[in-house]
Amino acid sequence: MAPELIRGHDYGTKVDIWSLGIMVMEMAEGEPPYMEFPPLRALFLITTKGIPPLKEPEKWSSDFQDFVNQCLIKEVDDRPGAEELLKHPFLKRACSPEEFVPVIEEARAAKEAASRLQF
Amino acid sequence: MKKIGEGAAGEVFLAFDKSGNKVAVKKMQLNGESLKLLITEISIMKSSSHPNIVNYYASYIVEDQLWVVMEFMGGGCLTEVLEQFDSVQMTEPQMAFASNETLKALLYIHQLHRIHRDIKSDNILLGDDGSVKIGTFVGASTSFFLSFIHYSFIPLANSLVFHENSRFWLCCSADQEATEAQHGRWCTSSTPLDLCASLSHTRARALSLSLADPLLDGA
Repeated sequence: MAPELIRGHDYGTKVDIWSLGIMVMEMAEGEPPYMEFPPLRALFLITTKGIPPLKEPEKWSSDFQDFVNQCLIKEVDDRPGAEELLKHPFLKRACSPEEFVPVIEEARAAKEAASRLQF
Repeated sequence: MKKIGEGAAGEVFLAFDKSGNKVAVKKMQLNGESLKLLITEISIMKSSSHPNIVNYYASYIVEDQLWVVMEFMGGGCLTEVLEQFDSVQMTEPQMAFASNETLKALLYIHQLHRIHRDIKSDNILLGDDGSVKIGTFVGASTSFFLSFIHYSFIPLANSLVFHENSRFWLCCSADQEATEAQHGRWCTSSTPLDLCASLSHTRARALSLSLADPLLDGA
């Protein structure tokens, strides 16, 4: 939840940009930030400290890190909108839909393998 | 119908339209409060058309449930990928692709002066062809802060019709006789509703609601 939402301030379309940033962190690290804290504590931390940096920054390109950081700028006015973000250099690295398929199939296979183990 | 997903808002089932194409049916429990929200959200979905937003087809009220028929996304949601993080990790180009596709949908939504408010991996749906689309707005309204915002983006459409051209035949294990009895019983109106359901006493009806309806007045 974006800081402006938590604080009960007026908010606009950029709350979606914040959520995208959180989701990208989740794609990179497997879970969103502050998962180790209870929900209310996590909300408090977001408003006071913002979002912690990626756990293993050396794993990621500077474009990727900048993209995440842009999405998660605490000040609404400084956070870019969708139009601006679509021009971000990180997105130039995007694979094709065909190259995205394997991750879907691998996850499906992993899920099936895990459920077979349970029985 | 085969259950393919479950969320806070309801369960999602696989069904087929009359031409045999797969569709997803989201079933949600209705009550007075949720109906108001769902009507707003359906009208938003109905008036949204973008390659990165899951297509909305039709809705039906079936007993005390709302069934929303939508484009079927064979790859499930992004959450299902993230849940396998221990063994399957996305590469930067894959994350860039997913982000780019999501942003294209967001740009479209934001240009219509709307806010999605519930962007998360559960709402990012994946196609078997690798397509990435923002999923339903319907049922996304579980967040507590919704009530004071959702009237600010009443969509442009001045009316919404829940049922469209009786396009859908929900494929279930209904016994045909019961199904036909239902047809006879419920499809005599000027907008015939072509809905067969597996429940023997299913009541389904098409709703046509105007946004000027008192249901939507005030916030």
